Amino acid sequence: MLTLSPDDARDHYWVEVTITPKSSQEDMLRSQLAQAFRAPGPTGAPLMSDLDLHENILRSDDPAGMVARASAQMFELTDPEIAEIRSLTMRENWKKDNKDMVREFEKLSAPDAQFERLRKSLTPEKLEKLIKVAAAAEHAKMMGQDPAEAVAQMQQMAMMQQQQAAAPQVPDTVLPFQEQGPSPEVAPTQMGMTQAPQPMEMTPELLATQMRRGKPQP
Amino acid sequence: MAKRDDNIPSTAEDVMTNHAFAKGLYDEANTASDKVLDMLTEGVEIPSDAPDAGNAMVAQMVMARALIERMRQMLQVDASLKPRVMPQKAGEQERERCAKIERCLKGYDRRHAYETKRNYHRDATFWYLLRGRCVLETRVNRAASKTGQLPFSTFCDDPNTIFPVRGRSGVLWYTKEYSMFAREAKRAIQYLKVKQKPEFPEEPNATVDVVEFYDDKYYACVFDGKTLVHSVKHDLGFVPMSEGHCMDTPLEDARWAYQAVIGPVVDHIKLFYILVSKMATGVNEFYFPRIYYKSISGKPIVFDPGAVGQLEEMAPDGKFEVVSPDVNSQIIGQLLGVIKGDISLMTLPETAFGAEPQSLESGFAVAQVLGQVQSAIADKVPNLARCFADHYGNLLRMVAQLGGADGMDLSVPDDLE
Repeated sequence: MLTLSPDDARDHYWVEVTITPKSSQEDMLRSQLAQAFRAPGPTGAPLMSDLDLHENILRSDDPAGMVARASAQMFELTDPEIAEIRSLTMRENWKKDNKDMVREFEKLSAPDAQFERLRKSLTPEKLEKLIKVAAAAEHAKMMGQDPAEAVAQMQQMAMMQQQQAAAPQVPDTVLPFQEQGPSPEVAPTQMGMTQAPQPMEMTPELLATQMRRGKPQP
Repeated sequence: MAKRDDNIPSTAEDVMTNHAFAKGLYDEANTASDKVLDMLTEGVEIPSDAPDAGNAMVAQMVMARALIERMRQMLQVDASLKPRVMPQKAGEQERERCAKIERCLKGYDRRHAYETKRNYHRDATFWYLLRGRCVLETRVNRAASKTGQLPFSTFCDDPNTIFPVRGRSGVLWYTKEYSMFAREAKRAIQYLKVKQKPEFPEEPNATVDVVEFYDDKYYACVFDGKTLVHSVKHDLGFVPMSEGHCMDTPLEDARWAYQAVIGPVVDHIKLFYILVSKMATGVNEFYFPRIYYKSISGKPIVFDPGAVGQLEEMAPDGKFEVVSPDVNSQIIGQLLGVIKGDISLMTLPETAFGAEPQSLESGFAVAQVLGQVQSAIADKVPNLARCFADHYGNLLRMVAQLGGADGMDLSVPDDLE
């Protein structure tokens, strides 16, 4: 409750009252006038500002407030950050309001218990291997091979790699002669050498470029 | 002559003499506005050409009520009324003080409507348009203050019962007459310092005639024209009433100082419905053609056109003759058009009721008529707004002079927007 004390009221007896009759027809006319005055004039500027339109044409109760609210609304609708914030907030609110539906969704989309245990036991290294195996199986499948066979080969290779990793890391040349190892006569620089580089294949574009330079080569 | 202005009315006779004088000023004006009220309450008889029961006839003057209601709707007093207290000096503190008073005035209206179940703005607008005058009285209600109700009241009674006497500087004093139930009258005086004890009727639902006198210093109240129940020096320094004149003129005679919105066209509206009634009679008479047949003796006999579906016996050699008179309905239509035009000139064009104007062919023309409607409505606003503003001013004066005492606080519900 608001109380008016005699001191509040004292000497403040001059009151003005405004009554603003409106009709639907008049509202329509005012709205048309406002649109006309807001359209760009010969100089490109509107004939009246938004504030003046509210004050003089639309005769709004709170012109400044209405202009501010319209601007705020326009900003809210066009700013991407606000849109994102609004989207996130609305999503979270929606989830809060529809907890049953969210729970049902999580239940339906959650992996089974065995997979969940497996997922928890996976280290990053194991996961990497698993992905490689899966990729190899997929590759084999695409190549028309038996994926199980490809996986078995992968496992075999992995075992071999493990064995190699367990072996001492010294150059082959210092190792004692082995039956299937490299010949001791082979120079270290020749080890691991592959076929000599072949001349570049001549494509029509390359040939045309070289001819332009005047140095045609076979 | 009874004592006035500087002297307290000391006897019932003083009050009644003043009352007779004040009331006499309004005799003609009240008679004229009673005619308007009669039209709204269906108290006007329309001469009928076909008084037989069962025939089509026009009994209600819808137009009279519609004009007043439409104007009240268009004024939108409730929705658009906004009080503004004038600051007495510059500065933020003063602005806040004025804003607080404005909120209190709105809160007062809210609480007043809640307690009285009446909306005095709406009532005042109705009286303003119907009687051509509205009067708002601001009163101190000490009895209510003791029961936790609003200590100040606003009365918006029929202005034909209130008789202000104007001098060069405004209202000097006024009297008011009304009746109240005996049980209510007993309650009304229980907190007063009664000067003469009135004799109440035994029957609690019987009525007591009351006449009150108010000026800027004194208040007096007389029951049944003979008992001065209360007479007191209130010393407010102003006459606690505000008045608004509709369709005002600077003429001093109350008969022409103001008028109801349909006051100038009362006879037109009456004539309009008389002609419509005539048209209804024509419908009764001629919707079914009159049929004659001649009997053997050659005497023409008329079939009753109203007795639809009833067979009448006739002589075997009777001969039918159908009479199709040339009904001159066109002239009634023309006269109706002229009368309706005059009514529109003084009140509102038909576009104000949402009707599509038949004679206007362009949007520009329609806009012009709409502009006229707006002017007609806007012209009614200033005096009504002034009346409300003066009432608020009177209320604030009373709060400043009488508020703060026990139970006399003006506490109102506030809308924290």
